[in-house]
Amino acid sequence: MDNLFSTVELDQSGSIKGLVTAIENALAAGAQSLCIFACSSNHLPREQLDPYLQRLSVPVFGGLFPGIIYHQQELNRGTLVYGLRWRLPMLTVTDLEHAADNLAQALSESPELRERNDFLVFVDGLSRGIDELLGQLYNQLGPDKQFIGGGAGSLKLKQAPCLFSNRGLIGNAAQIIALPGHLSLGVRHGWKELAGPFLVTEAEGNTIHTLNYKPAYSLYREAIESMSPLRFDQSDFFSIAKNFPLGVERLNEEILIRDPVRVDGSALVCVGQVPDHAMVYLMRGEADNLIAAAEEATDIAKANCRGETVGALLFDCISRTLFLEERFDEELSRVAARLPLDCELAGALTLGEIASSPQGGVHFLNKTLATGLLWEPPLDD
Amino acid sequence: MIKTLTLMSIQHELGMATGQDLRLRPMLQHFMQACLQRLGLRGVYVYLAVDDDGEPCLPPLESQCHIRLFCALPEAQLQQPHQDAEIGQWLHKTLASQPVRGFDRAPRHFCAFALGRFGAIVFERWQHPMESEVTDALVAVVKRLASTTLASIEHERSLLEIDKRQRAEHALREQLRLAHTSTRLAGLLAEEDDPQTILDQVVTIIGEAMNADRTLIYDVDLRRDQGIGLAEWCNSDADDAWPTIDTYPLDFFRHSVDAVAQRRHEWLESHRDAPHPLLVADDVVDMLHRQMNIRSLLWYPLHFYDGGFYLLVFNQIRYTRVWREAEIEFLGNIAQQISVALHKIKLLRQRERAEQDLRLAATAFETHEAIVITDQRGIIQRVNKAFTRITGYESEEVVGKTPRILKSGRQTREFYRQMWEALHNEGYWQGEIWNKRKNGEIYPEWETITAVKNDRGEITHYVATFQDITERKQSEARIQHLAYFDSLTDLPNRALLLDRLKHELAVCRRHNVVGALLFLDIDRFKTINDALGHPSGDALLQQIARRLSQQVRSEDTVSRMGGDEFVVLLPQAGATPEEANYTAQTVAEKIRHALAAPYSLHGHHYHLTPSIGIVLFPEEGDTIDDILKHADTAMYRAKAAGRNTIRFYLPSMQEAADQRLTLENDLNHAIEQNQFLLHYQPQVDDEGRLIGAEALLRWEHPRHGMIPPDQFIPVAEETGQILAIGEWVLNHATRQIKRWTDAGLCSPKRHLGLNVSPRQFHQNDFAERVIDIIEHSGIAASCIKLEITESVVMNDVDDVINKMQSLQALGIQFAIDDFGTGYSSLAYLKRLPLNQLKIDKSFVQEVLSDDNSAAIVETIISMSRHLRLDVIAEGVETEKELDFLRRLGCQAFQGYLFRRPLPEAEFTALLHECVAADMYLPCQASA
Repeated sequence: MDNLFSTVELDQSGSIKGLVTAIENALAAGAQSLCIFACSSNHLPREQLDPYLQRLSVPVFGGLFPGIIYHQQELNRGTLVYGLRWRLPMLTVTDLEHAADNLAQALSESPELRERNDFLVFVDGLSRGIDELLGQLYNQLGPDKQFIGGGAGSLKLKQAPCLFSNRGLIGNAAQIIALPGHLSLGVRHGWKELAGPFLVTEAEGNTIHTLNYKPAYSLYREAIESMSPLRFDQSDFFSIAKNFPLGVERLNEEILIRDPVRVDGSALVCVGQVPDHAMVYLMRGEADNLIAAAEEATDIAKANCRGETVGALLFDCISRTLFLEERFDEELSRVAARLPLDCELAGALTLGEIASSPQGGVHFLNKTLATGLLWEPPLDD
Repeated sequence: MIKTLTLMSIQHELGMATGQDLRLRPMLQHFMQACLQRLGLRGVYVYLAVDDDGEPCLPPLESQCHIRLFCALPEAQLQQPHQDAEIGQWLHKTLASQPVRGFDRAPRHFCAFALGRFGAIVFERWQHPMESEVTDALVAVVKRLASTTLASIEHERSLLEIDKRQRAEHALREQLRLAHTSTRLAGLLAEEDDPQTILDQVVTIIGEAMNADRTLIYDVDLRRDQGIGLAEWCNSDADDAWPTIDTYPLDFFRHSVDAVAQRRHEWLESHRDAPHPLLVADDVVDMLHRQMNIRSLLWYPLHFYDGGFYLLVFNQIRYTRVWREAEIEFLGNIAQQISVALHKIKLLRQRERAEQDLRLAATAFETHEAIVITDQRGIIQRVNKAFTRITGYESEEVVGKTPRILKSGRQTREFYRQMWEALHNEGYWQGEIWNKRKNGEIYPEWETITAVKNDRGEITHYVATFQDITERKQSEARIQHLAYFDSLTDLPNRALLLDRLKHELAVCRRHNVVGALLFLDIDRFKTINDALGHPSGDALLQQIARRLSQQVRSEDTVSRMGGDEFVVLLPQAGATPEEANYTAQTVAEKIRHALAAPYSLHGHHYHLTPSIGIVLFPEEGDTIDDILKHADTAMYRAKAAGRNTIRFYLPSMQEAADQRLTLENDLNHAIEQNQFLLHYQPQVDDEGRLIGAEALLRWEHPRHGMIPPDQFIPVAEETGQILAIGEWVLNHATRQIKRWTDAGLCSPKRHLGLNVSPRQFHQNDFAERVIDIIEHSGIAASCIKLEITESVVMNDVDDVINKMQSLQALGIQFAIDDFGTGYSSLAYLKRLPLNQLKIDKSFVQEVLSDDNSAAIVETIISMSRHLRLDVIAEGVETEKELDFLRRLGCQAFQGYLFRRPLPEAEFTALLHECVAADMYLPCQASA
């Protein structure tokens, strides 16, 4: 960590005072950029936070997440401030729904960013237009670049400003930050097919209207109720749906997970886009499979490292913690066990994960673990 | 194994994508995007046959057309058309027999499909080649894509054809239009005999033909160094095309005009976004392209003559325009016609000028008034001798130029606008105008201008007559001066004072500031005046007036009210009554001293003193009469108090002034009479060990007893007495340290904190003085810790750092006092060679009751740790505060909890006690 970060400051109080102290400490230790992971349950009044962030003279980025990860532990309150030794080039895009159209222009004005290879991406996880933005990022920057990141926001699933920036806390936005070192990625989810396939016969953005030409919600509900004692009219939708995500089949046999989070009339609303005419499966999870997938993701990332690992970033879906419950700590400790001893493990529990696929494209994923290992080539390289 | 259903859905999806748009590129992009998403690809590339213009085409099979990468996803890959040659070759040779082909460049795998006979689509996979069932499924999809592509290319080629045809038709229409223009010009030359009409018609016809926004013809006269506007046409459709015609000095366009003159027949084109370099060199780009809002301009030289040329100018204002080759060619064709027109005009003008000369000769010319005759454009034709006498210019220096040569710059643009309006409407103008002589002197003249008209009632000339009215103006100024200034002293008189007082009263009310008025009367002046006689009395009054004027600022007013009464008006003497009180008192004292010095008259010395009454304004409801009356009343009180003294109108003000004066005087005595003392407040570490003390200044006044520092330090700061006091503190403290050292009570771990005022620190020789005192005392400099406030640091940081470094080199330590109350910048703090931050007691006292104070204290402690500075909390009064501060990590303390500031003897006793008890200092139970 010595080479990449000047300091890591943890404030467990979740107060504005704690955040300010952590930032001031990072600045006093010579930080040139600030990366903030904070819990959405923190008490950070905007009228104090925004003027403070606006006064900072170094680039600041990061978000409010349902939870954060530090030293193999999940925290639901508190703030993690990373001070970085370099002033990192970054691009902030606002009005996310329409941002993809202007991205080419914005990138052409940031040549410093275009030259880099590895990027951290934060988005407002409840915005529209995330998939379009990621598609355009891939389109403009090409297949040789790598991305990792996640969606910020709170579990209340109500859109609100959630990204830290030099303009203050912002929402409906994304941040693309060039990383100084090298990044290697591993992405896995561990969910298995339970029923299907169903043809998406009408979908628009992240809303599925019909499956197999039937209203999507009724088909989804029938499928689950026919195979389990669960009944939708007796429980909150998400409390059942979190255990039965949809899987979009792709040609390379990867299954892209989509979390249905609410019902809109007869339609299912997911986190992330579902393509029209896609084939989808009803998925189910086993705790052992999910944890094994987390280990596998870490192993893949490790296998791609060609130097000394200096830090690990985890973007783990918040719904995995809801599903794994007390076994989530096991997932974290088993991931940590596969990392070098002195490797700092940090990250966030997100509303959607972002990672590039070696097969092409940058994807907005659900219920998935994206592991990013930051490494530096050996000195004699 | 790919699932059949999935493959079918993809096939369906891709098939749909080919029908999304008829336009070629959007259609391909849509399809490629769907492929990228659904086939798990790294990239998709479409290669097409293109014609010489780079447009997609449908070549016959045998043709050797170019194959180019036309579309790529990701677009970033367009920069790497890696397979151009290979795909091209493959298309030509094996297309018919091998419509699908794989290329392996592991880990990249490419799969190319022929698109009809005019292109190919290439899919890129990473690590895994395309599965055979996918390839098979794609054959049908690509076939559909090929037919859609074919239709799109045919559609776009037909659009191109239409476009080409339209362009040809347009060119034909334009040729016809230009031919028509030429005919119109020929007709004009044949029929019209009036020169100006010819010119006006020429610019109109050409302007319309060229669809310009403004067209002008200039006579660029290199001998007279002028560009003379001959005619102008403005397009009525262009709102911003206002008339600009005028005569301009060629100095503005030196490079451009010279270049046109040298190159001949070469035009010059300039655009707002790409200004011509010659116009840039002339520095007129801003004027032409910004101020005049010209987006594009074209200068086309028409006809060269000996000593100049005619220039046709086009301005485009509504949009940027690049003139086409055909248009420039057209100008070349009609240039000959316009040259003929200009020649005809020249002949017509010569005839006209001969007629005018006759008319002019008849005019009585040489009179005592200056006369200038100009043509209708304002070019000077003739001047008389009186003109030369008044202006200094000879006739040959001004003929051919405009009267602007005399312009002084004193009149506004509006003045000239009104003058020209009168001339145009009434043919006559008269008025006063300030002009400039050849020697640069600006003078006033009374001028009459008359327009001369020809038989048809058109203006042909202007005749201006004027006389120099400098002397008349001077007499007016003298009269004005007499009305407002006292003739004896040349000071503002009562009338002017009242005027200024009225103004100041309004200013003070509006800006909420306080002004002051001093009323002076010379004590016993009447006696001296009677004894010496009036002439001597007047001489004395003049000396008094001079002394008074020397004592005040330029914005103050000294006025003589009459007799021996003077008034001094101090506008905005202070932001508050207290500040104004101090200013007024200071000025009054200065005046009293200045006037009290002996006056020398006819070899004798005389002594005069003033009585001064002061009033501050505005008071509620004050009028200027009230203010003067109150000042007068205060002055009489001064007289009643024994003369040669100062009195305020309000008793409270008087009291404040008296107290302050007394304090200042007492402070002077305090140093001389050794009335200052130092008390010492102990400082302890977190285990209660004595680590030092802060020396605190006390003043034991012989009458008022102990005076707290906050009452006298601000006064000492203002008067500068703080410098002497600061030096006394340094001397006294170092002598005391010497005594403690000799008694074995000093240790390298203990420091005595001494406060340094900003004024003291910013003395140029501050460091040298401190070093000198320490060296004389013979103590170790490391015993001393100088405490400065944040305000010291905010001024001239480099100087502060230099001084601190030179003192620190001796071993002296530095602490920032009252930290947190000022505007400390972290950047400064990092640069300063500091040892300690002292947390201000205002935060410490609220640390338990106010979250903000607690947060500030915590931040200061945390920041000190990062900056590797010691931190000490001041004003610690309770055990709870101590506990809290300890928990935050504070390791040193000062406050009543341990000890109040102790007199010298008590502190010395405490030192003895601490040395004996292993330096342990218990809290004072009842602090």
